[in-house]
Amino acid sequence: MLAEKKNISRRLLILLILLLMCVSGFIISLKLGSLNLSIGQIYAALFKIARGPHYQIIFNIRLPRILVGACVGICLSLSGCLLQGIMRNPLAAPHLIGVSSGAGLAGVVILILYPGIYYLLPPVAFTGALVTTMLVYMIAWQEGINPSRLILAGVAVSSFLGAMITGVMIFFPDRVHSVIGFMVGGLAARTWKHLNIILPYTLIGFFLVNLTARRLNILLLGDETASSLGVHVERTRLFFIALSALLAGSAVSVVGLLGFVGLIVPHITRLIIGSDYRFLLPASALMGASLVMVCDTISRIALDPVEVPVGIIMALLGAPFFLYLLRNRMKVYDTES
Amino acid sequence: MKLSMKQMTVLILMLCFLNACEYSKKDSKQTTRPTSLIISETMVDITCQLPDNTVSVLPKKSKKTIVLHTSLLNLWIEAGGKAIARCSGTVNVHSQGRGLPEVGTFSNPNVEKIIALQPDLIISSDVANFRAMIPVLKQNKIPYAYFSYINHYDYIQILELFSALNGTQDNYQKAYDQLNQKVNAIIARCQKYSRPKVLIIFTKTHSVTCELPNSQTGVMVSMLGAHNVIPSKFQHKNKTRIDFSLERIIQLDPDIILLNTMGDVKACRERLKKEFESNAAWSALRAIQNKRFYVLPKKYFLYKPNDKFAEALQYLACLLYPELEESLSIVD
Repeated sequence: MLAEKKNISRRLLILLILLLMCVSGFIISLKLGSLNLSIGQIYAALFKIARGPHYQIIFNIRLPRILVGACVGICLSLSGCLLQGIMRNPLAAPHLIGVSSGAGLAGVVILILYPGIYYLLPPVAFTGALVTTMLVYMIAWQEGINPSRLILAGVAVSSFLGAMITGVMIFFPDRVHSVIGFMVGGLAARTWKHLNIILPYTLIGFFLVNLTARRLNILLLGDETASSLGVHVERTRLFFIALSALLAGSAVSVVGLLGFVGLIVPHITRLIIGSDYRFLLPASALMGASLVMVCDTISRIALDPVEVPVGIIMALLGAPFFLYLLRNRMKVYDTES
Repeated sequence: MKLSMKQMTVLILMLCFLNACEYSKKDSKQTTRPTSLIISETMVDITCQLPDNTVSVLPKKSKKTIVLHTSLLNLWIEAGGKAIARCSGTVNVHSQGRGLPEVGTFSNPNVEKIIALQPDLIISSDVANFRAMIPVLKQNKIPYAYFSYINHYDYIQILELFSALNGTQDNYQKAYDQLNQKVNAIIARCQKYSRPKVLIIFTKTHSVTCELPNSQTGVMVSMLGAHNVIPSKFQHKNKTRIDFSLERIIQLDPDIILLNTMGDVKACRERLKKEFESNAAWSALRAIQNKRFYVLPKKYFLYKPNDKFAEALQYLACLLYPELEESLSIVD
């Protein structure tokens, strides 16, 4: 009992540290960029002088961009976390259920074939993500859903759609450049309009996952055990898959195919806080938000004034960091055994 | 050699740093452009310079030429050449080229079809898939050339070469002199006005992609005496566009914004007007407040204008210097 209390206290402390990390990431992102601003200048721009280049940069460029980045980090990491729980597979990520390929194909079609209506990209990409997820689910359904079958169906559908994406790019090579940013994922030119698109999904998704985290813990015990504990396995699984697709689809529609977050962030968080989803989910959300904000800041300042897509920075920095954590953890396991 | 995690991370960061240095170093590698692509000439062939400092020997008066790039095809026809096949595409194709059989896209040509036609010359743009085809062309002893056709200077060089290959140098010289006269006249008329700061954007939704001074429109802007706010130090070989920081654009505050688009120009114009005016960051820019943002017609600024360069330049001059609009009619 005491040990459990201690455990919970430790985890709450970790959550607090992650929250502070998130807030620090937010402040650093506001400060740094093409123009480095002091806290005083930021405060003045936000609350005192509503004009001038500082105000424009802080309020209309950095602030919406950072908030969109935070929401995207939250959505993708929660989505990945949910999928890894449902499928009991550490490699599960949003792209596995067709979200990325569905949104990618929809995005590519708009950007290459109908560039004149590119403002429809967010809703079309979102629709593509959800439709593909439903298709994967229907293909995998056979008197219930087996996680392995779902993964295989997702891989097959993703491969098929990936080939279609490549085909479109091959047949319209002179327009490929307009798609590259979307395929890699980036936060450049994100505005308050984009935040308005993603924020409702982020808030609803965050609220729902934390409300239902216990069910995910129960699902981890296996289908039979979960059933015996009163959980309707198929309905619960469908709910979480739909929630995951909604979260990932909203993120992809706003920033493009930002990979890595949904796969790696839950693992990084799990190494720090453990596998209890009551803590893992909010921790992943905070970690995802922090990671995206920090990587976006680096993408803005690394080659200033040229911007590097944030997806590239995330993969370059996040993957080695994750491997470092993994090796340290493996050393601890080896020592203990 | 086994590397520890720390060593690997340092190595990766060093690679990123070196790439950043490459970016800033590139401007010093922007050496003077060759005045001509023709290295030497005989009665039957011409040795010319290719983009990567290699050379190629091309036959004069080729009978079975395949051109794998629409702008180069138009240029080839303009220089008096004839082709037997081209790359696929319906946009901006010269009237004489429209009926030609197609042998694949410019980035992915069909090697079998090309070889089957037994061409005596192949012309392409500088793309990876064509370079991959070169060993096959060499095996089949098919002369080839590939070009990086980005702006007006490339046009002059390539037209000179194509005219020499087709024996139409006299026509080339006449056309070049006439074009130069018109261009110089337009430039001279712009001299007395103050130089505006110009930003050229290639409209994309997912980033702010700006055109560099070496792009087609960028070259025209600098010929007209205006100042491209994106510095030339970011130019890099074939790179004509760059994802630029919106924060820096706010600081640079251009007088005029020019937009190139792949989509419908009219629809783009309407939509961008709404977007710029409703977006607080963009609407603070001088160019937006003074309504000096223009979507450029594709025929002159997205596609290569070729022999219509003077028209394109005149169009742009009237946008940059509105005082000229009524008095400038060098090209009708």
